[in-house]
Amino acid sequence: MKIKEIRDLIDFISQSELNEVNIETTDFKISVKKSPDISVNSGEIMVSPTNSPANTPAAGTVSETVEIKTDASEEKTKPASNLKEIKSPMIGTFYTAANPESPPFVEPGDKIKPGQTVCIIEAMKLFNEIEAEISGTIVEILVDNATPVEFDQPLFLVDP
Amino acid sequence: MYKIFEEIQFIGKQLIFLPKCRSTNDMAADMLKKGVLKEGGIVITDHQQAGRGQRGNTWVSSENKNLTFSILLKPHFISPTDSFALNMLVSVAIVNALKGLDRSMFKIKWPNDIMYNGYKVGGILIENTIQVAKIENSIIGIGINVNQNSFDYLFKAASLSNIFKRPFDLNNLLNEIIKQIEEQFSILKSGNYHILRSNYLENLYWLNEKHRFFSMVEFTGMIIGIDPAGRLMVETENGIEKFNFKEIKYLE
Repeated sequence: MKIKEIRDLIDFISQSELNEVNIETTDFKISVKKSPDISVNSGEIMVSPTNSPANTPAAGTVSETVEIKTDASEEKTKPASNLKEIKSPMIGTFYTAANPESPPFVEPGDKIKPGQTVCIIEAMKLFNEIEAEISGTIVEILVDNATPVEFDQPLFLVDP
Repeated sequence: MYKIFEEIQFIGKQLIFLPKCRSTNDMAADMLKKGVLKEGGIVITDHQQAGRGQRGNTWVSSENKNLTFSILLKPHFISPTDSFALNMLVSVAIVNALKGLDRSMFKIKWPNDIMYNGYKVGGILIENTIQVAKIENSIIGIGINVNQNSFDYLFKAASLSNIFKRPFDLNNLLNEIIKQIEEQFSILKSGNYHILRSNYLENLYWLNEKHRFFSMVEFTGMIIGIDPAGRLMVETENGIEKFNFKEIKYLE
């Protein structure tokens, strides 16, 4: 495990509600505990190599946060004539949100980029997060929440 | 503490144990996003506090008694239209793992509940991410009632220790299940979808039996199989009808 991965892990735990995480791979055993009276960014880390100590990082306290950079938007305005569709990759039930309590993934007017989740299609108790392949602006959601969709049925109109 | 046996090839090489958490699927999804969870990685807990069943339902589990874990697979070779194969893969694997206990009584209730003599002993919740018409990630959540003794009567659930009147070793069962998942995964990966499908049908609860069902009205029918999309095919007096999940209820 690389230092970067350990740092990501600590960052992950500090942002989560978890108090304790144990990770075991073929090479390492790592136990991370969050102390309630210490600030969120620090975590105690104990690394005990079980196999190859070659790239074992030294034990110690890591209190660095990892910044997540988001790409600056670079969209251009284009005429709304050649709208693109996002289609359903399968038969199932269309959902606009992860669950009834959460806000929709996208709404008309929202900018999307490739890899962004736009909806969930549930098919026979399988939940499929559908990620956009294109970037653009959502113009219209073509299907009502919680209704059945067919394979290849258009779900969203996107202004690229 | 959980330990993955050496004969297991790729699942569980990364094992993330959380003494407690809300849902292993949610944690796995978060860890995947942050780049912490690798393919084959397992997130497992002794106390799942808000496990999810089908949309909106919760899965109740007592502390330190049951197996509750999630596995990350990257089944790029399965097209989204064939995603039901994942349901088949995991449910067949679990039933196979339990068959050492009782060859004939463990069944799969469509689409993916694990049953023993009409009682639910296990559930599966699979969450995929679909990228450019392929299944990029699949988080497979599995819950098995193992040593829990009491259940709400309404759930019609049971545990292995209820059934066999003895406690079970959680770690051995975990290893047996992931060994079977690897086996079914390789069957599917080598293009033998039909073998997986027949393994699934062979273990399907109520297959080729006459029963009462409900779908808008009550009716008598016989489950004769599933279609490629995973819909349940039932022979009724009006011919063969296909049902999506939640469109049909099993009565008696």
